[in-house]
Amino acid sequence: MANRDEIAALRDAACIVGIGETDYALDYERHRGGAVSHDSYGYAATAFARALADSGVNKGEIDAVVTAGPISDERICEVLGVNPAWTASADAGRAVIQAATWIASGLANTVALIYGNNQRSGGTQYGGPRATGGDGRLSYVYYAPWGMTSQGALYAMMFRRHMGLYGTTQEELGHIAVAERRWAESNPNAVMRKPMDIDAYLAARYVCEPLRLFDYCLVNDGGVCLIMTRPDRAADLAQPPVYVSGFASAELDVDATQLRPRMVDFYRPAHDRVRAQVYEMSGVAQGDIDALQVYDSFTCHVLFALEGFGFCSEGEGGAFVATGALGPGGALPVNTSGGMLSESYMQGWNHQAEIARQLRGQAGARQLDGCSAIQYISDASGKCASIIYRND
Amino acid sequence: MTSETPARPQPYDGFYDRPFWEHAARYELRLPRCTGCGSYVWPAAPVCDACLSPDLEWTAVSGKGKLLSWVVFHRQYFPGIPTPYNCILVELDEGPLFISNLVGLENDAIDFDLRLEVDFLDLAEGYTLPVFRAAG
Repeated sequence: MANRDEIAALRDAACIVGIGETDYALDYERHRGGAVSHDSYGYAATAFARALADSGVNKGEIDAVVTAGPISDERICEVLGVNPAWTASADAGRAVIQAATWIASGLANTVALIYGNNQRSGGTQYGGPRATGGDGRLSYVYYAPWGMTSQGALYAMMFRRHMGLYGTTQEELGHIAVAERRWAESNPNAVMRKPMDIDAYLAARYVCEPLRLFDYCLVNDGGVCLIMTRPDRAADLAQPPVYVSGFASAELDVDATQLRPRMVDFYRPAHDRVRAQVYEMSGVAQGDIDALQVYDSFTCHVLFALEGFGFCSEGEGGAFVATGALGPGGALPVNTSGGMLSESYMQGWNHQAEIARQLRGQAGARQLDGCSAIQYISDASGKCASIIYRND
Repeated sequence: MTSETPARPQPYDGFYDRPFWEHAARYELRLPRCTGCGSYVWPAAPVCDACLSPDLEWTAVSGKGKLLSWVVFHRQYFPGIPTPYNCILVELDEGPLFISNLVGLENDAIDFDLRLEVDFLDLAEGYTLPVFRAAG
């Protein structure tokens, strides 16, 4: 267990001062027309240049780099002309946590977090004979003789069990996709902005029943970059700082391939551990969270996160989301850029950029009023993490 | 079978996996079990995850269990497996969770807590697939 006194010193010890994203919607349309804008490194480099410009940080100040997606530490640093002291690879939530701990400890002052992925134009497969990710997650490939493949199918099986235990319906689940689409309608950089109601959701084909087409995230190209530094360094930079106030991580790896943590426990033991630390460390009470950003490669991620973190009680997630609470004007805004379902599948990275935008007050038509604390939650494959960000 | 017929995927051929399929070919469902503490280890692994003993024995299980959840694939991911087809999660009476297919029942008739028993399908691809049927 984490030492509570020690980690209290990590609160607000690092902040996001720069964000850069590629043109998701434009690149998606270009690819539909047969053109490809970049490879993964090109998207990463575009995002990096935009994040640097946004922040006012000079490239020479970058002394650590965290990468994600199908890019290598060495090659992206070579491409960008950076010789860091430290590199690491991590998913979006853990990347922010890695950078925050480097900065808080004094091992690094300014960190670039860089993601680039050409998954659509490059034809990345998330299921079937060429499914990606099997080297790290045995469950992605082990059950192929029975036809069981893809992260989507695993989440479909989880949701089916939730239906059986609690009476949750597919229509209730659809309200998550509908809410995120409503947010995306006011985001010019979202790939999917066409209005979608619950009837349109239900009319779409099944991919892996009980999940339908719009329960699945997009597969599109893009890149995201965050620049993080010390709060004292942020004072003379271009943007108001967004503080990393609290974070926690917990994994459920025992019996992961047998699927017990997801199918039997809905990852709740990991949610419980993370929940216990993240609010205490941040000093932010759950009731003071203004919005959530939830890793949403599938709609039901959101349902499980809402229950696991106590935004509604166990088994009540379906009824909760069906009230419309997650969408514009709702009581608990979730994935306000449109998330990975409607904005862009940047594997949690676009969520961090949207958090910074909202907390800076730069989210345009979808800007939340009086927004001061936003929580990120991710539980992909039982690797649960949460971060609470604040702007004051 | 003609050579043009798409094949089902072959079993995952990790260092410890082959005995599972050799037993299946003899219509036996066997899982590795720790001879020290009695824990089942599935999928096969170098050591028992409870006590770290390397002494694991391929132990016959009853082949009986109940259905915890299921999905029906509508998108075709594998050329050799026509859609729609189901995948089920079985809780074996001995405890381990096992992914398989349910045969002998329409997909629309699948339901929670169905009692199941193992059966074996000899495949043209050269291996025998453990599947489940509703218990008689």
